[in-house]
Amino acid sequence: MKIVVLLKEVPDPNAVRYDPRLGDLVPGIQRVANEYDLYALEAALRLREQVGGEVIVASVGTARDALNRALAMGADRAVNLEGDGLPGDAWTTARALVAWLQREQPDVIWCGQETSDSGTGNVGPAVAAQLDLPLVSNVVGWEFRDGVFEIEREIEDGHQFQEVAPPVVLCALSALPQPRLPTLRGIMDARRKPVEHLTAADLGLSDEALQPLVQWEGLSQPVAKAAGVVVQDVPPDEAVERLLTFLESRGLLG
Amino acid sequence: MSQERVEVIVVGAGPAGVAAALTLARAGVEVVVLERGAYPGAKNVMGGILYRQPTEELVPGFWREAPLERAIVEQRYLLLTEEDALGVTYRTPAFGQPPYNAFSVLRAEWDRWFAQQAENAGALLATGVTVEDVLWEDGRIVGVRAGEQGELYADVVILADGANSLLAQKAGLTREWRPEEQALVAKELLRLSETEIERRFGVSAGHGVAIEAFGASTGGLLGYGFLYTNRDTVSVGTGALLSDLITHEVNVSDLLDRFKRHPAIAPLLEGAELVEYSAHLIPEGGWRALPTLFADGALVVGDAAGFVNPLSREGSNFAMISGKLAAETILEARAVGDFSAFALSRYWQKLEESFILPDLETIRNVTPFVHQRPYLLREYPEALTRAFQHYLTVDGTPKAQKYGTIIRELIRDLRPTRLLRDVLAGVFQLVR
Repeated sequence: MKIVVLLKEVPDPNAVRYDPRLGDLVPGIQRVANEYDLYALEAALRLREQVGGEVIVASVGTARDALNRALAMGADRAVNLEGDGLPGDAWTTARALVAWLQREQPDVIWCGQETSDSGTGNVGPAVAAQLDLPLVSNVVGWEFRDGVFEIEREIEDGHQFQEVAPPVVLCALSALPQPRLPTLRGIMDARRKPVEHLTAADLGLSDEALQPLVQWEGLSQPVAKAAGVVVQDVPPDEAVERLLTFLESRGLLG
Repeated sequence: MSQERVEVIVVGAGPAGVAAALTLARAGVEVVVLERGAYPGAKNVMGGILYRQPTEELVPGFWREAPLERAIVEQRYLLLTEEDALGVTYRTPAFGQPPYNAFSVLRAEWDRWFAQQAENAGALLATGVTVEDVLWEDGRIVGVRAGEQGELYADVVILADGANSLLAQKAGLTREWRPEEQALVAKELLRLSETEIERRFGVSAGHGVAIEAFGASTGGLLGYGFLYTNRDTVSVGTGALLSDLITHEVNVSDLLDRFKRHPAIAPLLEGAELVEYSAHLIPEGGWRALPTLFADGALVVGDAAGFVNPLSREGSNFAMISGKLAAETILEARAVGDFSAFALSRYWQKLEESFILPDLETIRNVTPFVHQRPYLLREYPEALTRAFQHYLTVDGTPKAQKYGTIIRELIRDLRPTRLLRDVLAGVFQLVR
């Protein structure tokens, strides 16, 4: 089975800081693999362990370290789509991926539900739409049996179970099994695994095809909320009294 | 299953480990750096002063492209009492132009850049790998084990896993540290604008100030406070011996708060916004706590070896140069195919020929010296600031009378025989 994992490198969510003067993130934040994408990769590796085949990780935009990590975890090869106009927005990212996916013709495309930086959750669905493939989002459990995926997905008020046959796009949540740590052997092996670098031109994509639909107008910080009234370190009776007085003063006690 | 092997494993991607890996990779040695953090610098805490000369021994001309904050043109030493400060300032434009003397750096950024140089030279950097133990075979260290991440074998393992090196302890190269051999440092990174830093510290763009403070900055404990200007942040911290913190039941972050509130420091930090807080151990056991630095198949470098000069507050240059010397030792050992403790003992010789072991030897008694004389950091600053206050206060007292009072008080407070004994003892410690 040919399994593709879509992987994005994002600013380390633990190190992200907003710089009000720049109106942007502070520069130089370390980039790491998007967490949901690593869950998708883990699922892909487990699928390969079950049915055999090949796991290919693909990323749009700079992703050297994230792709290396994926290879060390066990992916067979990596593809990095880079260059002018990439990554652009979710639409152009999907466009570029689709151009490459049409060559690879994978059976399963795993991706993270969304990325921790832009958080649109659009790339997976856009890829599925452009390839006219079924898509199952919010995947929290799966089994592959008799050529069919039995999928458990998280929905608003519960869990939903679906069956779907490849080819299919699956979007992973972090309720799936934890991504494995790369082994030392995996890290050493990763050096010998192929990483293919492709530009938009290599994929036959014109500048027009890569026109983004979204214009980012910059970042801003939400206005901090007032802390409110905090009652602490007083005896319970007095605390109740104060709370009642407060609620009364706001006309909330009828 | 076949063994996964490389020529050299470096555990830890701090300045020592990266310097070793860089030197080895340049010589064409297959070297892997295993780093516990998600990236180099993720686990590091350093005050943030990087010296130019030792760094250039590894990356000539690094200051043209490395992520540096400010060239340090001014060094201030402060003796602090509860409210007062007495200081010495040295400033020279020479330190503000090429080739410079020292820079403030943000370790997370510097370490990543430095590690990148080693990667560019051909070293493999593997992050997120926690080495738990060394592997032994016939009494030789032959590799490392990283829990469920597996094992990796090598001709030599360089232990560069930092202060309180668990690996050196497990390998039996060092005993457990004693609390009087480690300082605990708390540090904050505070944001101010570039122009505000330049205004408050009286420096021009790209130039910065380093402040080192003793006395009440650590509540009279044996320790220090520091403040370094970065581009648009200030690194401020305090450190004290772990043993003192324990005995006096002082929390190092309270020390830092006290330092930040000191009247000589507070205005420099006013309105600055907290960006990051960190705390770290600094090995200060020095000469007396030296581990076994070489063994069959292993070398110990940097903080893991306790290579820090607590007197001059140098650490990163000891780390980088020890890493380089370890690498050079391995290159010589590799040329003859012998990685025994005997062959690797050249490392000790190289350390003796460098500044590292001589400096550790020079200052070997400084910590005990100050520790035996707690009044150095308590009574002397009090006496000296009092004398200056009298001297500078204009109050109608005839000068001869004023000078007389000052001298009498100084004699009373400083106790000249004790002072003379201390000065002589101090000089004798440092100069031979």
